[in-house]
Amino acid sequence: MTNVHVEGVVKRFGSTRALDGVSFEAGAGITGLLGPNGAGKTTLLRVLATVMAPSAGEVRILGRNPASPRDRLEIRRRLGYMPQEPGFHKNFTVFEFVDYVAILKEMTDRRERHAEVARVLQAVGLGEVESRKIKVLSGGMRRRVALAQALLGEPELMILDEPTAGLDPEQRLRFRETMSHLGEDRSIILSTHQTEDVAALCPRVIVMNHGRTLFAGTPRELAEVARGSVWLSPERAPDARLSYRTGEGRYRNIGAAPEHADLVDPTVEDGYLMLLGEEAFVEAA
Amino acid sequence: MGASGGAVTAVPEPAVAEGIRLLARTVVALESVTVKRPGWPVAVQLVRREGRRMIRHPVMWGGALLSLALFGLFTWHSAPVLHRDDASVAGSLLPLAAAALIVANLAASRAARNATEELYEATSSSTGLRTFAHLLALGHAAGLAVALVAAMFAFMLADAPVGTPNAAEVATGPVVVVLFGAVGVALARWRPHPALGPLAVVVAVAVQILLVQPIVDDVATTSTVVTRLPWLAPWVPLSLTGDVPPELVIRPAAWHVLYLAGLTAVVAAFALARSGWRARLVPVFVAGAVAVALGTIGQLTPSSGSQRAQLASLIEHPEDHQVCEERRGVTYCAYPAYTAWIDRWAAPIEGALDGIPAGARPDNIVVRQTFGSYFEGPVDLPQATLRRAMRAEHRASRDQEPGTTIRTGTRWGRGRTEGGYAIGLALTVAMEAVGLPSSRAEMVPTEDEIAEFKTSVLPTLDERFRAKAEQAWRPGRRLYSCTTLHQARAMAALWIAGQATPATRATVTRSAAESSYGLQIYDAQGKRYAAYVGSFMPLYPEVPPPMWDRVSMGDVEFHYAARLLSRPDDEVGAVFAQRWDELTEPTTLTESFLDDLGLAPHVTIEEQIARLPDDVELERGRRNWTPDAFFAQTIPCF
Repeated sequence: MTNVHVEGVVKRFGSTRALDGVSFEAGAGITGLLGPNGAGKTTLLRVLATVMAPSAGEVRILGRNPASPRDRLEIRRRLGYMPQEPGFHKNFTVFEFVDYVAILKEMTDRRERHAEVARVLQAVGLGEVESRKIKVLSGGMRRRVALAQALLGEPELMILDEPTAGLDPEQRLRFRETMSHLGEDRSIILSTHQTEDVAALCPRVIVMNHGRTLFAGTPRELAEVARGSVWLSPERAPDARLSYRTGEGRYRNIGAAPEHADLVDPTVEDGYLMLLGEEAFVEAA
Repeated sequence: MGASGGAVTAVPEPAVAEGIRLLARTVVALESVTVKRPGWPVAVQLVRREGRRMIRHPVMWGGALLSLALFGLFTWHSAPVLHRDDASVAGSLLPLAAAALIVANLAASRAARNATEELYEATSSSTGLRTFAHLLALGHAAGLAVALVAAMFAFMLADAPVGTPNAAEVATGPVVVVLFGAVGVALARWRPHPALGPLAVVVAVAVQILLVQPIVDDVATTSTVVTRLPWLAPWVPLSLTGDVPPELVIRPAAWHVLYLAGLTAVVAAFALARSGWRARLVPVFVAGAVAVALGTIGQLTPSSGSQRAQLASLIEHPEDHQVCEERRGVTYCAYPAYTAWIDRWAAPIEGALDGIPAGARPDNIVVRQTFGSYFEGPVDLPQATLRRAMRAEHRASRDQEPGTTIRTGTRWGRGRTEGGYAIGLALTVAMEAVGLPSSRAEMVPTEDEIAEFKTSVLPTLDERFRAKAEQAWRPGRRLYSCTTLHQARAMAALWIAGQATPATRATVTRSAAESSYGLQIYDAQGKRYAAYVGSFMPLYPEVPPPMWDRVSMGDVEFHYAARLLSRPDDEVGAVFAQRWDELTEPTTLTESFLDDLGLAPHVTIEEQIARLPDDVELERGRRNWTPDAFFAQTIPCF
């Protein structure tokens, strides 16, 4: 079932086109959104979260048109959204904050709501700190608070903007565990800079740049973009588009084959870098 | 690269896609007919949450404490009069209202300030619903205001209040709290900045002060629209500078509450409109605007001629309104609302009577409640009535007719200040008992008194005052004032008044302790000077006895009386009773009683001057302002 349908979506800010004819569709499961800074990922997610209207194009979410107030209301009732920079009321406790969002999500039965808040806090590993003020939490814990509120009510569609930013390795693993579980029966669209997260979690990936969709496919297909262009060699290849020394002491080169090099299987990261071309290599360097 | 592969399906062909879209639209359109927006259940939960946070906010607690402090300032020193203090209760809530403005503003701007708007926007509850909840949460602030009002009235009810509070006056305080809170919410929806709340409070305080400024001025009547302009302020005090009897002011409190409620509705409608809320806003705004218009017209309309005439009757024909009661030979007349105060008035009077030998107790005392003639604030009286009242006051000050009528007002002391009111009543009785003049008619010396004065007093006077005194002491001439200095009866009168009640005793004792009687040495320009400090009578009754400003009672007798109050009343009373006839003679000197009373002689100012060190110079021009010098140029009472 198609839960998100985006066709020719344009979003202009003055003379800038943050989205320039984006089109894709997503059904159940996790869809990763990759792209460099300024690619338009956050703008796209805001459009999908119904907090921003597109300048042109068509968007349908969960079979509804967010341009219609009634539809938008229904979409929001089925939506969990974690913005890129979620604000917090720092004098609220963790529980109070998530509970407040739960009220806004129409969870009006106090007992049921508190049980749900406790559940989502447990799910993100914040059950122990629910009575702490948000102002004393670390950045990673705050992102987990933001994630917890997005989980409220088991939404049909979750839109998560860089949910793993600032998480330590253990937290990221826990996040992956949570997401993989949730992704079994709902649609999740998450934007990230972490290609490992995409490789580990997402059956589908979309790569954006300059407000356009460059790629939509599986992570394996994205990796295949770099097939035949990734080499391991004892020396840095001078003509390589990107070359770096691995932990094993050899150089991983992307581009033309250097001398005495071994062709290796590409990763999602390699495919992403190849896809974005010179711009990505400048950014990666 | 186009979208392809995996679960991310390629964009369908246009015709198929159009068909899917059409179908989906139809389904959604059918469903959307029954879509219900989040309403009361969400609002109720938000109201509970925001309301609890609001009343737990430290600023609210600060506001509540300041309100209680302000209430104390307004009412602490006065016995409660509910139809006057109801306005004070409303004014006391202004700090709470300011706090409500700040806290509501912070709460309503919280999402914008903390960047959670985007997150909240993606939920099904709109900004308008949140604004609605913030406005309803002001009910908690109103509840706190009502609790404070209840506490204030409980405090007053515990002290036997008189009068009946006006419901509209009582409602004004909580309504102002809600209005200010709504302003805080509206400001947050206009510009979400944390400084805006405190800034708005400063502006509100300035508006309040500017609008009520005319009340500070000595405006005699509120018969014009201009003098009613203070009613545009959130709260209108009865008077800012002094006492205005509440009975003489027509306060359009009900119109004012309507005006404030209308303002609240208009401000709330603005806040909701700024939040994108459209439903049923126009009726709310229109109803609010109509209420504001009606309230403004109602409260700015001057009092009518018939209303003012009714109030004039209270002053001009008190007998038509007052209730009189006789107790132990004393007549008490009070306006109906104040009849419970007769007990308060009677206590010092009966206490003083008890301190006087049975046969010497006066029986012509009348205590009459009056509104006075000069008001430090606007009253709703015709100008002609004010002029007549002033003329009557002037006549009374000349006191053509003998008699002992004590005129007491619409205020009575409470706690430490009660003695200041009670002592005047007790002194009137005591002065009457010892024969001190209670009217100017009694201040005409007889031939014998003039002869006595010429032989015994006149030769002792300073050359400069002798001629003046000779001129004043002529047969049939009514004296302007006299002094009781060195007269034993003055000491007795002060003691009788002091022992009347615990409050009067405390007042006399405290006044004596605080009075810096004697010479004070100070340095100036490298020299040491001595000056007489203290007043000739360090007692200032709030309800002065008749002729109090004409009968100068010396502080020597006052200090003797204060010392006697520390002695057993029975012993002192026995001495006075035993020598009562001698005591009440004007010529009997205080010193003649010192041995019997066991009092050490007071060190006179003259003796203190004689003991001054050589390097201390008596302040120039002050030598003649010692008590004895004063005595020398003032005629003794007889």
